[in-house]
Amino acid sequence: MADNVRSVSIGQIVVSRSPADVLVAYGLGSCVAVSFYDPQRKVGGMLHALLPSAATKNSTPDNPAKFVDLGVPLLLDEVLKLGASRSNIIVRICGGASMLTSPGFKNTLNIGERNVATAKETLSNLGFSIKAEDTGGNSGRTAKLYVATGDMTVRTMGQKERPL
Amino acid sequence: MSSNNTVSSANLWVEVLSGENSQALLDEAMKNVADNLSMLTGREITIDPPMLKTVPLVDLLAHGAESPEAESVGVYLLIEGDLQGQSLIIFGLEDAFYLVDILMGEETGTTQAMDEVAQSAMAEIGNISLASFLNVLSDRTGHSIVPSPPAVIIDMAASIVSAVAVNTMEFAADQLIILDTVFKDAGRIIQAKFWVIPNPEANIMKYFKTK
Repeated sequence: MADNVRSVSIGQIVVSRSPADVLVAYGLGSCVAVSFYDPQRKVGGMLHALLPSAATKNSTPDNPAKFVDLGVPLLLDEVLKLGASRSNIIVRICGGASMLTSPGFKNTLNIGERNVATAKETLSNLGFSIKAEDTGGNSGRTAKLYVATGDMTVRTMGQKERPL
Repeated sequence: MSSNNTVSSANLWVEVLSGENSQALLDEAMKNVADNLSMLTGREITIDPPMLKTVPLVDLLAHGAESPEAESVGVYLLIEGDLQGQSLIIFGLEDAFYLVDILMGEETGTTQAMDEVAQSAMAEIGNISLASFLNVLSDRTGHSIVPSPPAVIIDMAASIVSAVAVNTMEFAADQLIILDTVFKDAGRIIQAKFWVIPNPEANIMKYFKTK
């Protein structure tokens, strides 16, 4: 079956139960991808979040999926709506690199780390444990979730896809 | 142009990007970039007329990285002083090797990896490019506008492009204004994307949203 690539861009959630679909978050830098998969129902979903949390908690942002803390519960809602069962869900996370390591870029230095920490905290609060992760470091990653099998892969520049 | 030094960065951006003399100012600034890069490389470098775009975050990767996994070299700088923003210059990896060979006076094909020397050559390209652009803005507006030291990123195109999105955090913005152009040499061997990105302050976003 030919793969149907569905790009998960910054601030997006994509969910699917179509076996041909491959959900792909290209070039995750400090962004983090959270993937949910129910192997029984063969339902998968991926969030590509940019920032740990909204600067102000008082207003609902235009695009909540941009934020890890707001995006993860939305991803959960979406996969449940597609028929996933909460107790079956396998959770994997990927990304959170530190892309700008030069001095003078202090604002962006810890975003990757904070994204990963916020993902872990949010997932834990929702009662999920993380089955696999590929996080941190200084390299961008492309994450793929194959909806047919639930296989997930990670690729960094110049490398082949490797299973997560 | 105003020489009032108390004008906010957002207002100065609006003046620079869409004031009465903007077209002439931006053309002159880009010509200065091309002239200085030509002098540095000994090649005739030209720059396409810059386009001003409003890019939603969800479209940023598609917009900036047509081949998201392409091996690329990015030079990232901040714009500091009376104007505040970011700048990103992205080369394909092979183009960067070619450019480093020119700068180092080596035969084409000598550079095969982005080692420390190659990275500092690319940093210099970024520095010259943005400084050449900002110097004209600074001269013509009477404001102090300077580039930060550059950071060189060697990675997939999408990872490099995504670096500019993090800067939306402080401003709670869902889109970026991007002054977007391409520079290339006469032989079209080197080609690079050159972005100038004002900080997405509420005032400037509101201004360009309604245009």
